[in-house]
Amino acid sequence: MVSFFTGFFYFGTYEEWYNKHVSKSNKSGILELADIPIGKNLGAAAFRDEIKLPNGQLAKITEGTKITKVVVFAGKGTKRKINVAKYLSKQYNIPESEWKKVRGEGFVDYHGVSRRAELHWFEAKGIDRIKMKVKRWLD
Amino acid sequence: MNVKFIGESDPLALLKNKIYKVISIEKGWYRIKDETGEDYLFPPEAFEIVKSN
Repeated sequence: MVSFFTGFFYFGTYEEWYNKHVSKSNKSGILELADIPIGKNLGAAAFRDEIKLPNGQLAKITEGTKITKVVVFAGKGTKRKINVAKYLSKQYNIPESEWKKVRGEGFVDYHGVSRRAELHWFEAKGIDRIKMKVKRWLD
Repeated sequence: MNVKFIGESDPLALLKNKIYKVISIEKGWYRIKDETGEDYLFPPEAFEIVKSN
């Protein structure tokens, strides 16, 4: 634990300073994140941002759009636990405590139509957006 | 309505041959409580209807 001392003044621990000045967690324990731009080319990012459909096919997030209103609503940095964290930990070899459950609003391509949807996914340090699912249609 | 999932099993989504209750149908997609315990929308192609209302 790191404490901040300047002369005779004590500024508390780094965690106290971070929570006061940096963290965007609100009282409900939700952590707001920046919008996620979806690339227009077929690069790595475009391949990654996709929803695996139950039949094994993939519904991609519409290229050239953004995933907006991105918030972490469970897991690391919030008050709510992820009830499947132990499965994620086992599958990806990343500690349970590192996982975040995130939601955002984006556009999903399905059968040639782009629809606005609330999306949920998991992520952790070194693991971008996985297990992306459609929570509800917004259009 | 009850449906049988005939796609690929995923312990964090749906399990093959398991019967799921369709909570609602929204723009053609089935709202189902999956293995994470939360309800999500899934496209109908990977399900067989086993009991319709």
